[in-house]
Amino acid sequence: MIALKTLLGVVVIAIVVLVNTIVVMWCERKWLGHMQSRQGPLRTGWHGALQPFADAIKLLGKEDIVPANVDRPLFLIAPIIAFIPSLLTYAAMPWIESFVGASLDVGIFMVFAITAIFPVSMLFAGWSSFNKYSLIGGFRAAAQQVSYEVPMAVAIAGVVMLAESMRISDIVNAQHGLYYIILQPCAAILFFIAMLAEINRTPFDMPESESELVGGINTEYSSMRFALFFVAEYINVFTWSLIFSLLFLGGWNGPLFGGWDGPLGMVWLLLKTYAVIFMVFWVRATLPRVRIDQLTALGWRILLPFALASVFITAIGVFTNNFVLIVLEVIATAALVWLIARIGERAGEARRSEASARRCSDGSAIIPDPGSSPGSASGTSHTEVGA
Amino acid sequence: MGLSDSADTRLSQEGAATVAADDPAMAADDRSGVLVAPLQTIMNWARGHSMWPMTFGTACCAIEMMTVGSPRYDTDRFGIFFRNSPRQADCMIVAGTISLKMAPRMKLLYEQMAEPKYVIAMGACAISGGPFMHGYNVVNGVDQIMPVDIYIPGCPPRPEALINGLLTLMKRNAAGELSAAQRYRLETEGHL
Amino acid sequence: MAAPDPAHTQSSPSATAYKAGSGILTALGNLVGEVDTLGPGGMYCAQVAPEALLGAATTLRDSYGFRHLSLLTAIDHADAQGGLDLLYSFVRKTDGVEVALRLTLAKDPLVAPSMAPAWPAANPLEREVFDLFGVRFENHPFLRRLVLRDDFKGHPLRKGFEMSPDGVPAAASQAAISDHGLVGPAGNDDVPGFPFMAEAGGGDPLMHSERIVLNVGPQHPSTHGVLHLYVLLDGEKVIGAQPTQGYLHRCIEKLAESRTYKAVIPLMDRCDYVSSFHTELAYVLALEELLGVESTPKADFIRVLMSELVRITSHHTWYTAAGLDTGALTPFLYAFIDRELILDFFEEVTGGRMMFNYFRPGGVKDDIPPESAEKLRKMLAKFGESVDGYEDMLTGNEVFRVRTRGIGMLSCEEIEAYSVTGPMARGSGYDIDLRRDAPYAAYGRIPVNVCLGTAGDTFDRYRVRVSEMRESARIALAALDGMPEGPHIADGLPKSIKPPAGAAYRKVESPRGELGVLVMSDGTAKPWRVKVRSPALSNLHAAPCMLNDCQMGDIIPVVGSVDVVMGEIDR
Repeated sequence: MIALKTLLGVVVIAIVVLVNTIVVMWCERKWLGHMQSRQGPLRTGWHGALQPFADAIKLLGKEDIVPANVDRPLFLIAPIIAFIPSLLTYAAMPWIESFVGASLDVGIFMVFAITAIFPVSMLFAGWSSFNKYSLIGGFRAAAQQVSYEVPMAVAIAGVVMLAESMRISDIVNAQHGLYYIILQPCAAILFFIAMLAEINRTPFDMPESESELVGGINTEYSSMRFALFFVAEYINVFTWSLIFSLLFLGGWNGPLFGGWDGPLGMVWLLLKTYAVIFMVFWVRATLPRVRIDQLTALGWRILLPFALASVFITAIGVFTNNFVLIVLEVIATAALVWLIARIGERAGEARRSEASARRCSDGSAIIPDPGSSPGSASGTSHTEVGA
Repeated sequence: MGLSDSADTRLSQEGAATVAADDPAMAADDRSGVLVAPLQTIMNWARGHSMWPMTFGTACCAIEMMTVGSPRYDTDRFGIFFRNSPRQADCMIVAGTISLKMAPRMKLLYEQMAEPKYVIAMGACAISGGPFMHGYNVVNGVDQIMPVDIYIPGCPPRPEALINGLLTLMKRNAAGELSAAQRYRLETEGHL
Repeated sequence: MAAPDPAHTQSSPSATAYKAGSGILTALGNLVGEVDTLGPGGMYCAQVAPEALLGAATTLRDSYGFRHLSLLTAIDHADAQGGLDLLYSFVRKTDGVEVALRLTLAKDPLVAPSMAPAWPAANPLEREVFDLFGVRFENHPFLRRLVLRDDFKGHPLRKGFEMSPDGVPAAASQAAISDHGLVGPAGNDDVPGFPFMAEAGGGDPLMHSERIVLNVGPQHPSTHGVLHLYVLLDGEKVIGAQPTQGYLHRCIEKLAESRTYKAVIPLMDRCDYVSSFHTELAYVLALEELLGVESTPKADFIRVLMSELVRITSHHTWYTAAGLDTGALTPFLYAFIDRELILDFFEEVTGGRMMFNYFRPGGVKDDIPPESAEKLRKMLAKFGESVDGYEDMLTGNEVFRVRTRGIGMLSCEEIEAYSVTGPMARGSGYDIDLRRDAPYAAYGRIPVNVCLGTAGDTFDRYRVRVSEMRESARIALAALDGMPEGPHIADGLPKSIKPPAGAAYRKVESPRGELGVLVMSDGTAKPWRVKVRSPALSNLHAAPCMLNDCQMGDIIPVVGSVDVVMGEIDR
């Protein structure tokens, strides 16, 4: 009886996840479309709602190509390794207090452990594909994952300290009335950035880097195997957005729809999750892709120190009070934002000024760069361009 | 893929009559032994609503091919979504002149695509060599090299014409018609 | 906007410039032979002996400041010995004087000294001449076919090369797909390998890395057509890069020789297909110089208007690519909204969106409909806001800045060595712009502001092009407002054009740089030789310099900042 119940639970959870994944796919194309003054899918079902089904079914009917010279076992198993753990995460993921696969003491720890398998699949895919682009993509995936798992885990430490538990439902329940995004804004931003890297979304879509690596790790995959990668990617988007809303946005807490641990709290959870997903897609529509060394530099030099600082601040907050915690965290957040903005502002400044100093022009620098100091932009009459 | 083996791969438009889904020839499809009819219907619906062309632009037509993704034309509405890797693409839009140097690469890309695959010859150059057909380095029509499903005339064709071509292809798929490559194999080798 | 000058003259380079050119060539003394002119309005040209070529060229460069190699091509004599002329032209930046050297190779075997070791810009151009004419350049570092397959038989631009009347037979096309044609007719030995490929395999001993050769293109989502780059990588680090081209060689120059003068105009359209008007204009200007006709004042303004509008659409396409190359999709969609509005205008005036066939010797094909002009004026008045929008999307974008600033540096020495022109040169603060330096059409009567960068990185090239969009909109509006009344095409031109024998080389500032067209007539109804000087070709071959100490991820944005159009590079 228990086995049957477990099986039923697994099926229900899998269905909930997959339905949400389809919705996420549809949302991405619609939202991105509208952000880009297009409309997204429109002809397949209501406002293109059936588009993901059409794409998936069509992919299933395609020829399954295993190219010559691939490392066959790895090549075949990589998409499965990508897909299974992305679903397995939901074993410990609570939707509401009472709707959870297994409410583990170390829930968040387990989620982290399982999601760390995903990059292994990308490394497998990249290595086995017998394609240089895939290989580079696979290595990038590995480098990226190493650089971002650490700050991410450290960023969560603060949350765990405040909730005094690693059980996800405890963390959510500890946020009654006061969400951790208010107590931990710096950690939340760090988590969000690291999360983008974790799910390989722009600006950290290194393993795929479509404009550089053609398709990166999945260049050589077709049909069903590609679909598995594709679906796994969107499951991960949903998973991490869900984790973000559980850890920082109060999960199923909320004033209406049975919030504050009622059974309809799932509505709140999903609303928050889709808000986070919207942010993810918004970032995608806005930002280009960073380079892999810049990505790792960001991870180790900025995110990790700030994550450590955030943990330290949280420790102070635990021993003093929430007000001190919020003030310190806000200061840290401001510093983080300032630092990242400054990187963009001053990027390549040394090389640029060196080159400008020995330039051969007999005219002068004309186009004022809004980012650099105004002193360098002097104009001569014949070449002046409006600022 | 016995295409490259044969010297004459050109498919005449008249000769290759379309084979509908209910044609007995479909029985030769090794999949139809497994797939039951409703499943085929669903598959046709999916193929009629999702078309991922490969970004294969060589010349002027490539600019117009880019344009079809732009807000005024917006092919995303129809489920047309450009993929970079041939492995995941359904159709190859040959947008531009194919030189003798490019021809082997194009053929390679075509062979890397997964079945069922379609080829759209966009513009005069891809159809016949166009304004450069008398040149010493220009392939006089991609149908000399691979089977073409849709020809879109123009130099370059307007984006509307390309959309029309893509939609025509999708409608054919929805009706369960065979691709040019499948028809060719059916005629020459007797199986799909 | 100044009122149109009633005493309008054809705005060809001034006569003083040519005189100076003659004086300089004479001053070269015994390095050169007799000095004559290329054609009726053409530049001065000195005969030079093979052994004196290098001396004359380097003297021109080092003593007289002619650092820009504008043209390097060959013209077949079609005589029994199989001789040909090599034609070199050099430009001095300070005053725009241009002189030419002519090296006559009397008979087979055609062997000439190579300028490439002393003058890197000559490297691809000599390879092109080797490829299409069969001239062997001694001491060339890498003499290999540039555009055609290595197994191609013959040298197609020789007059003796017979083209099949029906083009390439189907059987030949089908035979061509069986291999990639990387082996010469005489086997592997005939084809030199890429110079840096010798370093492949060796890697960083500390990291135990292995170098790999990566083929970027010819089919790659971001190579802007069919550009092919061989890249040698050590991990993510770029060790060397070599552009390979020819995947879009469409025999334009050869086909032009078999068409009447007017029928060449559509071919010119397809040469630089992103900014068709510029190739058309350069060809028509050269033809007018040969014919000795002038276009009407109104046509001059229309030509400026169209050139600037098409420059905007070309920069739209580039801007799109700049975003896509770094991984931003959104700029593409917004830029193409505005691009469509300009294409609408083109369509209303010329009937085509991209291929116009609009300029004619003596003027333009049709007048601009007043209502279209009104619509365009409204659009251009608001165009600045659109460009603000583009800048909002990328200029201040942190990620775009870290991806482009300080990346792909190009110094002014490299610009001169590789004959880089256009926005790429201006991005490094190298102040050249033919619209101002050697005005053609009505540019002499519309002030042109040249947009300059400072550092010469990818970001500055981006800034220059975005500013040029604003500037082009301003010039277009000025041309529209200042357009005089009158006929749009000169009267009394014969239906069939037969220019007197001679050559004319005219240049325009295309969105990619100095685009020149050399037209040579033998007095018949068909041109003897049409040569397009491709700015993007020279710019592209400077790319390996820019890729020094770059990373794998930089390749695409840096090469994208060259703004290559393969149709024009391969022709």
